[in-house]
Formats: sequence, structure tokens, C-alpha cells
Amino acid sequence: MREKGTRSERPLPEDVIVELASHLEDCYEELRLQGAGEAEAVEHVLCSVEWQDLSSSIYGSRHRWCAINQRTQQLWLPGLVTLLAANLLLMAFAHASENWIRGAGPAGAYLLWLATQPLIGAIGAHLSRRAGGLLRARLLASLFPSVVIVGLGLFLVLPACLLFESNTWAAAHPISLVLRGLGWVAPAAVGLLGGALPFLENCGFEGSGLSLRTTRQ
Amino acid sequence: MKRRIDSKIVRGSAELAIIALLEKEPLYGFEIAKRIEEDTGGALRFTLASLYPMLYELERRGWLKAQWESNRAGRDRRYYSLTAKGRKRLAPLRREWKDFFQALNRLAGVARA
Repeated sequence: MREKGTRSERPLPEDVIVELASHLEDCYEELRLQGAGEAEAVEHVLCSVEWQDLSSSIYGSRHRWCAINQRTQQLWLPGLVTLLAANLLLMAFAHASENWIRGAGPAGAYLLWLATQPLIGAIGAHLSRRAGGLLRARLLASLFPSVVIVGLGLFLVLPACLLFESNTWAAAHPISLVLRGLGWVAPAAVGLLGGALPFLENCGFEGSGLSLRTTRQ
Repeated sequence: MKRRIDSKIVRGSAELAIIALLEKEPLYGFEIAKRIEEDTGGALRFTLASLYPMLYELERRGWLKAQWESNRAGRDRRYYSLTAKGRKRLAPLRREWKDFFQALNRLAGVARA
């Protein structure tokens, strides 16, 4: 039983639960009045809520610092973990292929590294999901190493080759250079995505809040 | 960038919709969502995940205050009402939106659509 007439600066967690439950009950009753069956109304009401989205939005609205912190936890930290892990593993395999695994060569190191990408993608998506990240955050967190490499290649390496190094081959074949770069990154991206897939279920895209429906009469 | 503008506009319009509605009388969450949907002919619609975070945010800012009350059926409801601070924000918000629509109208001829 709620204490009547009480008010506070922000709702207590139990207030939030009772209030949301009451809202869902109202939705259910309205659907029943509109002629929906009991099971249909229950299913409709429960399926209409994206619980994880709701939980993180409410948490964010109750804590001022949370909006920034939330993005850090859901995207930047998992993204940095995947980026760091991918780069460290690549360095380790390259070092191993040079020193310990005779005959493996750069191709062997690359293939070994590729095999670890699903695990890295899974870690990124899992960390983002654990922090309440939605589909876009989980995808970006898991694909972060590939996104960074593509970004660096397109906006740093390629212009540097063309402008500062006066690389004649790159200047003559910029598209070929981009395609080669993508050919190197794409298999890793596929591996990362493959690992992330099990963690992408049951999540929606970020909602913008109020929805605007346009209807034509 | 586009997404940010979109969400800011939507968020701002949602704030105005809520505080303009609560200017008339205190309402609880479900009523607020229902009234906004009815009064706009279904064009604006709140979901559970959009309404309550917004209400709690406005409450935290001190624009709204909430109070538990029982309705006639004996159900506990958390009624939201506008505070003096919220009432003060209403006029500037209305002006901002009026200016925004006028600017958009000048640019895109929205009124002629």
C-alpha cells in the first residue's frame, strides 16, 4: 500500500514498479474493453514493452550523470576492450609467427588471428548487453576494431599515402587500395559479427521517445 | 547529426505536450498518454518506455511533482502536477515552439501543405 499524499523529488524504485504495473493493468483493461481476449490482451501488453530499453531509460532519467556514463558503459568501454584485444592478439600472433612458429608467416598469423575474432566480437557484444546496450550499441561495440581500422584507413592512411608520401601506385589506384584494405578487414568483421550474433537477440533500436504517427485520411 | 536533431525535437515536443496538459489538472501516467493520443487524434503517442523516463526526468528537474492518490475504484495512482518552476517554463517553451514552427513555415511552407 502506497502512502497517500506523499511526494519526493524522485520516485523510489518501488514507486516505479507499482506505477508501471498499474499502467500495464490500465492498458490490459482498455484492450479487454475493446474486445480483446484475455490471453491476447496479456500478450499484447507484455510484448509492447522493451524492458531493457525501459530499464535503462528510467535509470538514466533518475540520475543526472547517467546519460554520459551509460554510453561509456554500453559502447566505448566494450569497444575499447574489443579494439585492444584484437590488436594485442594480432601483435602476439605476428610475433609468434616470426619467432616460434617457423614457416607460418604473416598469412598464418592472420588466419590464426581471424579465428579469434568471433570470441572478441562475442566479448564486445556481451559487455555492451550487460550494461544495457541496445542493438546498435552491441553491434558497434563488437565491430569496433573493424570500424576503427576502416576509419583510420580511409581518413588517415589513404590521404597520407596520397598527399605526403607521394605514393604513385596509391595515387593511380586509390579504389584498388581501398578494396585491398576492405578485403583485409571484411573477414575480421564477419568473424566479429558471427561472435556477436548470439548477443543481439531480444533487443531493439534506440527509441526516440514520443512516436509520431502520420496518417493519411 | 540528423538523429540528434530529430531526438531533440521529439524530446522537446514531448516535454511541452506533458507540461501543457498538466497545466489544466493533475493526471496520472496512463491518463497523460491517453489524453495526448486523443487530443492529437492519434498523431502523437507515448509508449511506456518513453513516457515514464520523461516524467521522472521532469520530476527530477522540479517541473513536476508527483503524489500517490487512490481513485474511486480504490487503485493507487501517482498523480503528476505542475510545480511553480514548471509553470514558469511553460511560456518560454511555448514561445520557442511557436518561433520554431514559424521559421519552419517560412522555410518550407508547412502551413500550405
